[in-house]
Amino acid sequence: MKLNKKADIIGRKQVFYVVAIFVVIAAFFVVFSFISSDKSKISELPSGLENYLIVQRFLNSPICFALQDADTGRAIPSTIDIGKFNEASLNRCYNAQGTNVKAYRLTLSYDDKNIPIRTGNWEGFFTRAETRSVFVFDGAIKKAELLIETQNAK
Amino acid sequence: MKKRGDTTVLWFFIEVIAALLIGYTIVDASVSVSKGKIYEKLNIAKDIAMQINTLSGVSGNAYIVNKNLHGYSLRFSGNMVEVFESSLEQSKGVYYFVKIGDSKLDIVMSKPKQVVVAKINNEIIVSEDIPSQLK
Repeated sequence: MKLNKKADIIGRKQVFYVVAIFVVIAAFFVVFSFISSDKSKISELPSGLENYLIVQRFLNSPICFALQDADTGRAIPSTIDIGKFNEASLNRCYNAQGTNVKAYRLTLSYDDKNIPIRTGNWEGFFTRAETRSVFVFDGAIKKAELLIETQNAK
Repeated sequence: MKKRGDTTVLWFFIEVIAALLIGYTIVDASVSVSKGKIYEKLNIAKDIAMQINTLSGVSGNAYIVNKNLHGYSLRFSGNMVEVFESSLEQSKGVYYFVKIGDSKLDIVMSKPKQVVVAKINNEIIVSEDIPSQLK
């Protein structure tokens, strides 16, 4: 009778330990995965933010394509000076070195013209595209569309 | 006798698993602390890179002052910003920006109190103090 009781206790302990080990292991993985994922989210950039900031550079900076008033020096946002819309200007305003930054291909369409230019790190395929309504200065200010194709950094 | 032997084997396994758990906890806790620092450094690197990209899109002159650097050092080289405690460490926070015009950023700042990212005349400038042209 005594032996049976001992065996019964040992049996219960075995079941307890087996269950406890699984629960403890599961708890460890859950807690640490929460800590890790929470911290990685802290340093995440909001989706599309980086692309938005760079596109603003193309449209607003006089060193890129923005039309600049010769008298006042004032840049006119979202108005492209056709004289600046070339790859030399693009690579000066977006001085990409290698493939660790986004690559861009811009296609300006107005009247019946399509003018494509691309950054030095463009490798021939795109991951994302958007169209912006802009103005172009080609002797006179005209409505135009700018297709912006983006490759992510590698 | 046989039952006592079974119990001994069971305890042996329990002890092995407990030891593994403790080992895992210690390693993982240290990795988490290390990761936390990496995220902090990466956060600063991304912030500064985004500021350079933002100022590059501004048509006039402007500057941004960064004060929350948590005692880290910074290095700007090429189109990259590195944030670190010691230049020899492996876990640096690194992020990339794209320069505008003729900006030549090649500067090391050892635990600066603040970092000023400025755009003056189509050039990005990084310094510890606000450039005199913008004061």
